Amino acid sequence: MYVECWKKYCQPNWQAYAHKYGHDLICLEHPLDLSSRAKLRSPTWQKCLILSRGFASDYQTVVWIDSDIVINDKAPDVAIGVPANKVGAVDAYEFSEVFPKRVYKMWPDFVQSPTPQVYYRNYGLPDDVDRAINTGVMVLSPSYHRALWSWSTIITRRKAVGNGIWSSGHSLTSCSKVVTSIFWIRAST
Amino acid sequence: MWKLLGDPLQKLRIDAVNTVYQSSFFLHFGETMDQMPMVNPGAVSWWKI
Repeated sequence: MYVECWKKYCQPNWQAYAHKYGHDLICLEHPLDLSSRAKLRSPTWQKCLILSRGFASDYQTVVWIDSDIVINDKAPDVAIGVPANKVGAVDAYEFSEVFPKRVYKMWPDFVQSPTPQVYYRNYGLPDDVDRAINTGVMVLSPSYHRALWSWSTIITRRKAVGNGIWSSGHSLTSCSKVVTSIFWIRAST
Repeated sequence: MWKLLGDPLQKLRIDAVNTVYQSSFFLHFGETMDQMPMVNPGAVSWWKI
């Protein structure tokens, strides 16, 4: 369903965006991790594996975009301005106070995390972090972040063993303040 | 007097989605992917959807 939807509604504007800024467009149509553990948890976790794929080593910069995102043709090149040693991402809590209230009303089962501190606390992590990111769009540098991404996979796998709530897919955003401190956060998209 | 044609709520949804799209660089649908077909990438302003 996702692949068909992406091809129909996203591929044209993604292709135009990639062409406009000189990027190659690579669509990952299949899970990177086919293990039984991977099948039991959200595909979000697969993002931890993208820099370990062969294609990633061919590029200085990798822009990750979730398949449920439509790009406006006025969008600038997100890779511009992101320091190579940082991960570019969007602040998940920059929205108005109204937004999370509507989200929780729409999805009552959604874990309610009105602030970054509560978000971390809900997932059993130290709450001395004041920001959290949305991983829908990320700018990555394989040479800088491959090891970190592999490391975060190990961390989250260990957590997944100890606490089932981790299987909900909050992998990269929730690792620890050590991980979030390397993010270069852009105000909005 | 305006005569509403079709489903006015659906018209409102389409207008809302396209207004957000035109105000964003990357519109992330999340669990609302069923609204993705409502986007008109060629729209130049919210009143010309």
